Amino acid sequence: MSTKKAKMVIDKAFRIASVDKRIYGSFIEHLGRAVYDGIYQPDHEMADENGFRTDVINMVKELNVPIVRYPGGNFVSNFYWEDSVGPVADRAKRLELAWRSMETNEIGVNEFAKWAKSANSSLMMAVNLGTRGIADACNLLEYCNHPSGTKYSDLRIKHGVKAPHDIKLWCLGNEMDGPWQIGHKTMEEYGRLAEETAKAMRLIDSDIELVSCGSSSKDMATFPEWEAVTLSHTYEYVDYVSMHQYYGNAGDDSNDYLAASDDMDAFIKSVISTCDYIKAKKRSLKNMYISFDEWNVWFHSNLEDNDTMEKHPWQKAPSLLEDIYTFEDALLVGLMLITLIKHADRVKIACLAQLVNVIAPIMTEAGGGTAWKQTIFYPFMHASKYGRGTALFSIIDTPKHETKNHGEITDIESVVVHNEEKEELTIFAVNRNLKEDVSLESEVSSFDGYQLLEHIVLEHDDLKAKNSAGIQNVRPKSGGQSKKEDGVVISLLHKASWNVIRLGKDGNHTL
Amino acid sequence: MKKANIIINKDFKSGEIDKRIYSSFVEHMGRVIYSGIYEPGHPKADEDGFRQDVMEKVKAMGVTGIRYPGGNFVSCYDWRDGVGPVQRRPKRLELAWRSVETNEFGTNEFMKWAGKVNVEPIFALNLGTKGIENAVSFVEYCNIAEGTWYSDLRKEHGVKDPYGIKTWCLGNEMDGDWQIGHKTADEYGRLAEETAKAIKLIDPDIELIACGSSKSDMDTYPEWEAITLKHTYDYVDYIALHQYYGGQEKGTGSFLSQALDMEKYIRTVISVCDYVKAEQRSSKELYISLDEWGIWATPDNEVSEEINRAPWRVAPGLNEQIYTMEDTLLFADMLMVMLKYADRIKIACQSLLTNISAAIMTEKNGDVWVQPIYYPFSYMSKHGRGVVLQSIVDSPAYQCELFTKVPYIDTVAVYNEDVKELIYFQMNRMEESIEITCEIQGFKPEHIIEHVALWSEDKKMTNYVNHNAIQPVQMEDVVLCERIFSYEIKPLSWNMIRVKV
Repeated sequence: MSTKKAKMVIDKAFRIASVDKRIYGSFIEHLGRAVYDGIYQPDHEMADENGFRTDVINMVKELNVPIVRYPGGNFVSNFYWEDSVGPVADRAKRLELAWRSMETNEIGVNEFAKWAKSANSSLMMAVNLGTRGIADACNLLEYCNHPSGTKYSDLRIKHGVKAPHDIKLWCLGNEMDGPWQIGHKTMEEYGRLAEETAKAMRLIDSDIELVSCGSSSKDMATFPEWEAVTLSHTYEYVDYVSMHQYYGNAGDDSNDYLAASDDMDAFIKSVISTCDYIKAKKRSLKNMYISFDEWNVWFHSNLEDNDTMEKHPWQKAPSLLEDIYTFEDALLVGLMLITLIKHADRVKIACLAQLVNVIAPIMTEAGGGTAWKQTIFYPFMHASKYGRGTALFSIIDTPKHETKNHGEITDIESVVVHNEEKEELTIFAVNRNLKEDVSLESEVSSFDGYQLLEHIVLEHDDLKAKNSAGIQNVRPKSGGQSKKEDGVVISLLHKASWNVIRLGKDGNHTL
Repeated sequence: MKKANIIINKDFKSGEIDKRIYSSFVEHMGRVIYSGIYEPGHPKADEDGFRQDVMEKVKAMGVTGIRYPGGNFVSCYDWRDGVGPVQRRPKRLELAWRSVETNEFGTNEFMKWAGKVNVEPIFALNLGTKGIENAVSFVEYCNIAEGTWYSDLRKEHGVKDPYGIKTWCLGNEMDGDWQIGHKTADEYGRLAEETAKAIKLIDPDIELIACGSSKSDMDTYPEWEAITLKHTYDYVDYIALHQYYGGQEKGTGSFLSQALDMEKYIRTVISVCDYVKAEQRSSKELYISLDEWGIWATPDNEVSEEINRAPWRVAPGLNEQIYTMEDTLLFADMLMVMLKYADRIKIACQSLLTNISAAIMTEKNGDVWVQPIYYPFSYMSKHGRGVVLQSIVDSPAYQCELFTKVPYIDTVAVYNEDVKELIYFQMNRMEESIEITCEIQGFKPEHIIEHVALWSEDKKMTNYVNHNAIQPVQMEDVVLCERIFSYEIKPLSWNMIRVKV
């Protein structure tokens, strides 16, 4: 039997949009071992003078994460920011209701800002609209961004931070549509509160950008009414609406699992439609953009987590949401990245949730061992490294295969990014057919003088293969089978594989 | 001279053109029917009283479908008045246009005429003063073979075979307070939903069009679409859009920029449909029927003054608008914009066919002549068939009252695989020539088949006095060099370029 074929055409004139680098953002929540025993472990041998683990920082730098959302997540909806500033010795311990843990408040915004700086990142801050409201959001913003001469700006200076943090991106609460959220609101309640909070915050700093809470997943019963009703209130005062989505393979149907990125695509399209409907309804000239500020695979740890929170609550930094990812999870993460890049015209921010230990690409051994890379680390690293520039429309004619719940789906999912500055072209492609290899012929003749640089592949015979502190079973290798003939790149995409096919202009590169 | 560059690529397609996008509209209004398409006693009338000179123009215009019998008219119309022996048909006060309707011409006459000019009928139902019963009885009359009250009535009226009319409009402009029996969004949503369900019980193959907004500046737009579709989404196939543009007094730049408003309008309605699709957890896509569109040269208040000055006339001359070259450009551009959304717009009805905001003008007892808008419509219908290709346009632009950035050049390209032709429709919104370069990727162009241009030295020129004042001109100025062709587009001109590939 001959190899199945897929054909793709790209043309440098047909562009989706410039990729906003912030789509390679991530997320650190005060949850489990993300902060304590994750990024922060003063007694660890790799800790710096601030107690931050430099081995973890180095891995974050490898991922090149331009923004980190902080401090939650569900955590933020009962967070009292004043508890976590000032002299550490005086900071209050708190019952943390979202994850039923003990929050010591050893790390707060001042410490985290330092960490973000050393990780070459910047902050995307969330305010508590669950148990608090306008006044506390304004106070926090004043504390962070106002230069001096007022109660909260002077308090910051008194806490040793002279220059304002100047945080430009703020989330108006978190997942307020979810009944699990502390201080969950109806869409009318949230729409009104977010509208008034946004107006007040903009009075303090007119340069900030604001994110209005969208739906916590496509399956929420209130989706997309939530977006329509809340945006009818907030449209003129916010810049982004958030989207959150996690997928899992609890049913152990890998073939169907990898179709989930199609659901994500439909979810994004529906949210765009809703935004544009409200734009017309409000007679607005402004486009609403999307902040996809929580996305990942999340399901492995669910049972243990429920047990921990129910039967062993109020621990400090318990092991929670410590999903150990398989190879197939990395494929889905790759597919989700492709989907985000395809919507580069509207998705301007995205946060892989999360960054360290909690549903994370980077793990640290509990109680102070080594840091290690999960399978999902690699597609994210590739996209962040090579997926900067202009996303191009690709017309793809691909074989298809049947799935249980998604009907017939494409074998090949792909997106192409042109980095004009570096004169590089990168084809990201997943073959989500688990049984058959596919030969992809990419027509790139409008890229004169571009030669093949490398074809990186992430693959494994076992879809369930995992990495661990000791062994990197799943890791990328160069040397995928690609060749360029005239204006066509012919690449063999093995069954169940993540592929990064890189081209560059003559003379600029050596293989 | 300013320059514009356009790129197309064979693989970058945007939608297959549905031929019904080249439909028109015949309403019982003014002289559209009486002394328009139907005038017994006219020297050119056939045995049924249909004017053959008009039929020839309709055929040559390339009209593929006709919406009938209204319009605002339908909201006070009982189809029963327009069938059966002519001498027994009642004369009625026609409230929408304050005229007298003789009912000499009705469903069976229209269907006979439609057969002669070979157009597909799109029928509208009265959801203004009537409701489900009137709608289902009408569908039964038209589409059921025999053996029931209304199907047998049709046979008694001399029509043996059912018409099998496939496409029906659930009322007309029900969002408009001028509509007889105007409804709120919830009222209309419920009525349309239940009417649709009943009609599909009679004939599940019927396609239904729900009323959308009457124009993009209705106060209720786009809530109207969102609310009504939440009721009707599962039961209808299309949502209607209507749009006429006037505003000539704002100047050429602003007037012509309204094509951008049309594009925005279409995109928004698509967004609302897709929002409701998600809200309803539906897997079905809703399509658009842009079933009234055109240019409005007469201010609305003049129209109502004319009607109120002398009401209750039979077939009075109403709104017999005369189109300028400038009007023609926006008219052509509206159709070009529709082609760009061919993936979602499946039906469009230029409004109206004869005498009122029309391409074809008739004199009672006299000649037929065509307005300049006739030409772009006929060329686009004849050659604009196939797949629309995406265009990447780099054009100089201007600012006006309505939009901050209006490209001077608009363009749409169609690939007709059957005849191996690339067809470009292009217009220049600038009062100067522009040098146009078109790059063709993925095809091997062989030669230019023809370049037709429509323009006038005087943008306010019409065909009213000299019926041939504005006519298309065959040009010989397009230079093809390998995969690139170029030419100088005339100021304020509409153009068609056909390339053999």
